[in-house]
Amino acid sequence: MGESKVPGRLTAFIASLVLIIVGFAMIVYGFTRKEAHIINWGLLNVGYIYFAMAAGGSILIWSIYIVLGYRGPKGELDNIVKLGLWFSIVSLAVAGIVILVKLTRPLDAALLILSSFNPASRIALDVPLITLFIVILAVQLILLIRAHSMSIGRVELALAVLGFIIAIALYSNLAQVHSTLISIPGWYGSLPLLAPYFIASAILLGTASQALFTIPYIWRSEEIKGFMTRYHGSIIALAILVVAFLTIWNIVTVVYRPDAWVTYSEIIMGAYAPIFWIFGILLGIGATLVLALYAVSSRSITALILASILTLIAVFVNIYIITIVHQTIIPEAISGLFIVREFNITLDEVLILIGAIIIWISLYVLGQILLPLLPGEKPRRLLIFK
Amino acid sequence: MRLAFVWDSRKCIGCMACVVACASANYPDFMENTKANPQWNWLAGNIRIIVNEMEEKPFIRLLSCQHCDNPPCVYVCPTKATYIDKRTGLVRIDHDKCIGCRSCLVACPYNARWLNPVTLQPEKCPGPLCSKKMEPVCVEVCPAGARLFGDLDDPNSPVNEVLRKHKVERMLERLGTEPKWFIVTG
Repeated sequence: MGESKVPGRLTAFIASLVLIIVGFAMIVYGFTRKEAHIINWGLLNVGYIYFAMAAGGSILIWSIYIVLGYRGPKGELDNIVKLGLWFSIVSLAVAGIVILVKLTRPLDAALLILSSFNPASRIALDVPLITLFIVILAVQLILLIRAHSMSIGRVELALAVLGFIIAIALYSNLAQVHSTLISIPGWYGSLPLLAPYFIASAILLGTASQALFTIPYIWRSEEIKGFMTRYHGSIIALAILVVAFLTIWNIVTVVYRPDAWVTYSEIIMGAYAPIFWIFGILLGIGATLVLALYAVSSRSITALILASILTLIAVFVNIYIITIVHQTIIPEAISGLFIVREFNITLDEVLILIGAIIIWISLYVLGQILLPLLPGEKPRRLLIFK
Repeated sequence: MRLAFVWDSRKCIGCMACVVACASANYPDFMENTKANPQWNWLAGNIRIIVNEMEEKPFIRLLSCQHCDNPPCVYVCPTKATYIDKRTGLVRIDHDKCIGCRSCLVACPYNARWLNPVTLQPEKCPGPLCSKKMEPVCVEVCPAGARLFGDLDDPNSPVNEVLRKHKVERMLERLGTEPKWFIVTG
């Protein structure tokens, strides 16, 4: 058994490296073919928000595991806490790559932002927030790997609390990037709704994606599987209820905002209505809630997988709608007139996004190979963790 | 100094000389290669035209950067590449600092910026040539004298004279952007 594991691990290692190279090649090729799109913030901005939100599952891992000290009846959460942290780091790294290649000058962007920092710019604020978030996650992971047992000290607790604050600030800031722009009525002034919506969506997407990505590692143990199904299922169900409430409340209130209603009417009963109602509401909220509750009550891992997949799709659709649709109809400088613009997905965006997804999955797998992320694994593979 | 533009809608004959002059003087490569500004579906220049056919009496408005005193594009720029030039009061772009995040393009409520399809960086009034000359070509070429450019802080400037004598309006004033681009309407 031991001998057969080594070639398997080596193959997975080489395959991950090759896929990461392929992913980067696709991104670089996509970058060189970039076009001047009519819609300024397009698919790559959607991808950035999506990957950044996928890291949000770690908020709950920290809060429940470290801050609240809950590890499950038999310490089941010990099995996924490090995997979850690694997953969040990878997601944030990929989010960073996607938004960097969206820029015209990705190589010196961070340096320019830091050297000429504009505190009034929410985009500028994203850089220190996302960097701090990654650093805290990485330090937390290193501390957990180096610890002899899964013990939580003061440093871990302080980092977890700080990380929680940074994470909430990051998702709130992402909402502010949109809601502070007077040029887009669908976004402007919607911060009281958009900030909690982004935070809830991050928790929802983060939990669903972590559930999906950790399943291969908990599959064999019936006990852990049962606990995780209830645990993830409950968080998904609760987060969906919050997202559903905010979605309904947004629809109710936007009726009284005539400027914003122009684009919201397109979402609710216009060209974008089919994807909004089918993927955002029917499957994204209705079916996912039923499946998550079923996973909780019957400990069905199939139901959890389906709920997680639907969540991944629904959150993407919702971010797509929020980011893109409100830019397609904008008020003209003369009151009463509107500029109508068509959004076309271009090859460069698709290549970059597929490349990013390949890197996302491959980096996650590479972490399993190089780092001792599962309980009982000894920190022997990388010198830093010895 | 607070430089401002005045466009007299009563004098404008709609010849589009300003539009063509802006494009050919500031972006000659685009004109030679007949490249367009894809975002406005228009010439690669800094002036676009709005036609309002909804009113009983249809009218046009020429639009370029409004050089707001309270500019949304400046607030959103993460690197301060878009800034208010303290010497002139004009809103300008330092392309060496621009990272191409396009937030200024999204933030401008006038849609007065466009993305250069070659450099993938934002462009706006004043273009490269007008920035050097500090005398906008649109004002120079206007055959009807419908365009003026001058200092709001100078009480004797022709801009202030027009503002004192005529009825003027500014676009999207309700947003609080304080544009320095005045339209004479009466």
